[in-house]
Amino acid sequence: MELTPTTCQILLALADRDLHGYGIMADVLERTDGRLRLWPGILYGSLKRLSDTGLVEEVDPPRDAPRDRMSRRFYRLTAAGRKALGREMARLARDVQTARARKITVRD
Amino acid sequence: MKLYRLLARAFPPAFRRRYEEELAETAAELLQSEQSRGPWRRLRVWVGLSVDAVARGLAERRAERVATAQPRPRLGRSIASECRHAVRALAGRPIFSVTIVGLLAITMGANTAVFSVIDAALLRPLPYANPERLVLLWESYAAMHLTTMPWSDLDYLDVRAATSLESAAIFRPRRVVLTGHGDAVSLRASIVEGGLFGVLGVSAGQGRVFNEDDTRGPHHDVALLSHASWQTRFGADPAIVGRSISIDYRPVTVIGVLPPGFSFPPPVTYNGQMIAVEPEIYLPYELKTEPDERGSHNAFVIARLKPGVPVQAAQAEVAAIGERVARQYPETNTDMHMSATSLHAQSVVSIRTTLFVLLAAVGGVLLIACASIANLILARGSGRGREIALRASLGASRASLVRQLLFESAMLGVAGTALGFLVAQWISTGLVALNPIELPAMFQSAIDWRVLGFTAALTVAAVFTFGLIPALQGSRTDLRLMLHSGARTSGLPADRRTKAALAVVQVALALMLLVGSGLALRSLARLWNLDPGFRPEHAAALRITLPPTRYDSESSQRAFEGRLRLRLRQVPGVSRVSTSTLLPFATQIQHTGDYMVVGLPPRKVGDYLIATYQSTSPEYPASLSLRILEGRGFTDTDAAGAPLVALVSESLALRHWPAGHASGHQLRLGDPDDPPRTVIGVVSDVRMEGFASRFAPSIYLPISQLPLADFWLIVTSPRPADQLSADVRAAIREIDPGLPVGAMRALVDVMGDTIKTPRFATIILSAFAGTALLIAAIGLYGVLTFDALERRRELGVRVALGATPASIRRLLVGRGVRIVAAGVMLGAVGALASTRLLAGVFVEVPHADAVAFAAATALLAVTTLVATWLPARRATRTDPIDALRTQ
Repeated sequence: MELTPTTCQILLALADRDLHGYGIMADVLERTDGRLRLWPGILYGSLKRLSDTGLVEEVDPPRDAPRDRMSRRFYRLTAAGRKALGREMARLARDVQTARARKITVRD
Repeated sequence: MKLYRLLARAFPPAFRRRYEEELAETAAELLQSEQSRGPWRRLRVWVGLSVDAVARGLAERRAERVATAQPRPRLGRSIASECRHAVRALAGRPIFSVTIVGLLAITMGANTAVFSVIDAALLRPLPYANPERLVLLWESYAAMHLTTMPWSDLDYLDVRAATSLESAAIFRPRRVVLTGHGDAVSLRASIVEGGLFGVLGVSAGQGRVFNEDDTRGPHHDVALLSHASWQTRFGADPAIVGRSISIDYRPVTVIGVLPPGFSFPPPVTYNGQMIAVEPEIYLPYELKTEPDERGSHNAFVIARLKPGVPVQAAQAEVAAIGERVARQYPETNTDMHMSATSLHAQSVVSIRTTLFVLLAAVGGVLLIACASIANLILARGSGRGREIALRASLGASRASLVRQLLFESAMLGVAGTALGFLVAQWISTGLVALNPIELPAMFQSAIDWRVLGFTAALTVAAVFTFGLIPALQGSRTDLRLMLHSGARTSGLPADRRTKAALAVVQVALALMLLVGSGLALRSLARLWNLDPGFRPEHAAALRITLPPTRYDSESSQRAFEGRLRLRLRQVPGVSRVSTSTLLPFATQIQHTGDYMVVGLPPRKVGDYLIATYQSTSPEYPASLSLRILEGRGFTDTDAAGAPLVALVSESLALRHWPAGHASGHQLRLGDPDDPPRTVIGVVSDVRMEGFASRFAPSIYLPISQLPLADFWLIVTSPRPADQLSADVRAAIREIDPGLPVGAMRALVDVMGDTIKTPRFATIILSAFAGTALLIAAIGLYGVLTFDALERRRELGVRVALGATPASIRRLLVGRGVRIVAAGVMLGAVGALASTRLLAGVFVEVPHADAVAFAAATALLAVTTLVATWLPARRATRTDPIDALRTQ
């Protein structure tokens, strides 16, 4: 599956820990300085495709998670997901290098 | 979160099953986190959530379709094919389809047209600024039975000072002569005080309206034109403002044209009759303020309440002023009361009841039609049980069955609405053209789209609701059972009960309408058969108004009147010519006043003797076939210089003298200075103001001794009035070519005008009742026919087991009779309750009139029993073996 900026951000959010939907939304919002808000529809639409293609998997909440909402599912990056994200990051890194070589100033 | 779950419905079901809980939780958390950032922020979040849900929901749906590789149904094509299918299905049962479309069209059309008129007359505000604050002020005089009486200028000046009134203006309708534009024509004019337009809050369409200065001081040779007269009389002349025209043979300057639709006074009810002046020209009013003018009551007063002042408060203050004025001027104002009524209430009071009766009748027909449509569709639906079961067993889904029936209903609805629109247009054009209750132009209306929409929604909803029942039943019932025994599927007991109940409702409503129209007919017949006191046959009348500018003296008026009678006697075919200042049954302001009998002790102040005065020529009693009961009538010798004489009516004579002893007594009219007039005879009584009015005590005076500028010319001739009209006009032109002459009208028609409103109500009610009866009979026939068809197998078995045709008929007729009996009982109770409302409309009959009830019930019973008998007879004619085999 081809990774879009949105799915890329979701995979990044899940890179070092399992998160629930709102956790992913909050993480992406924070890392992009509020520029990318994943509204519920697009978030779960993306999660569905990621799950269906095996890049993420649904897991039970970790033991230390708050017990207030039992129904909540957490999402975990699968090995395939990790690989796909790595490939995408490498592609982005190559693009950054190309840009630098062609005198594009890379800045925020 | 309910709201978000609603939004989440945009997602396809599978997606919802998997993620709905999480979507909702995430949205809740998102909202929670933005909680503290104010309402605008929350609103932005909601907008974001909505856009996201709808956009992603659609995207997911598309993705799902692609994934399952289902061909996307092409909506346009499928609608077209469904429509084709529906039309084919409907065309297969033309009688059913045409009946339903016809019922829809008639109901919608009639309802819309009648309701549009009602809306225009009763619900739409008058075309003045803040019309709810406008009131009409009245004087009243209980001793004369005058509840609404014109004002004298001085009384008006006293009342206009009331603190609850913001402003007030006095006005008076009159006729004036316009010359210089072809033949002299008589125009309806409103003579108004300058402040009127301020009171109404209306400004000119062109030029300017009057201001206070226009009517103050001696120079008021200015005029305003109504928009309609500017267009028709002056060819919409763009340079009309500033032009001089000739009114009553004097030049006046047009200073403005009023906006379209403006008319003043609005139609008002005056002494029980709707009077619509619709003036063509407005002229300034000159107040007469000499002290002796307090007793002459000639004009009407409109006022604007101060903001926030209720009508009751103004009424109380005006009444108090009336009492004060009465104490101050006892000679003229004792027993004179003053009052205020809301303009709108006054303007429609006489037609309101009639319009509500119409509305009730239309509503009744609407309900019957809905019940009938429901019944027809139910009957057809149960007949289709087999077809639907078959389609279902061949794999048609419930959704597709429902869709098919929906499309059929929609086709019927569309056709019915389109036709209904045409019918509505046709009926309202007819209503305006016939204008049976003299609905003023201001109240005439085009079709009201909201009303059409409402009616269409109601009837089409009936079509849809009942149209879907078979589909729902079909999918509920065991298909195998349906296919195996078509006989049992259709005759579900609940279904049959519904149909019977609907038929009962139809019968009951039809009976109510029949009773209503029966009452109307009885009332009209009684009214028309009341003795008016005169015979109108062969008499025709024409109103003559002599313009005051050229006939300013009694002698000139007398001379014209004398020459007119002489000249008209020479018109071929004329047998009698007479003149009179009053004409029975004509819409006019009655000349009513007090009188004294010479020799009777003077009566105390306020205790007046009241009579109608009328100046007539010698042949007047003979032209109307009045009887001279005592003494003699007038002759040509009772002329200007001769001794003053009077005739009195029978009721007046009996007030003072024993029968046969009136002649020789003397009367004075009005004030004590009036010269005594000798009674020379007694004339039979006449109803002056229509069939429902009382015999009015009257005093007749020779027209040559008391001429007036405004009188009726009455011609009796065997020739019809319209033929006579041209000759009479020509004769009048010979005497005075500058005099406007209207058309001659047969007295019978003048009399007919007074019962126009009840006649119209009667015709409409009868038409509606007839329609209702027909629909109810057809409905009943339909129910019983289908009933017999459904029970064919059962009846066949019965016949096979030895039941006679007579017993089968009894069985079927019995069901019909039970429906009719239930309907009649329900209807009679409803009629008793609802005809109470008609008490005001139909005079001379009690609302529970036994004849009307009996006749309506009999008519209904006969019609419905025929509707019951026919299907029963047909059922017994079928061969039982056939019946058994067809199943």
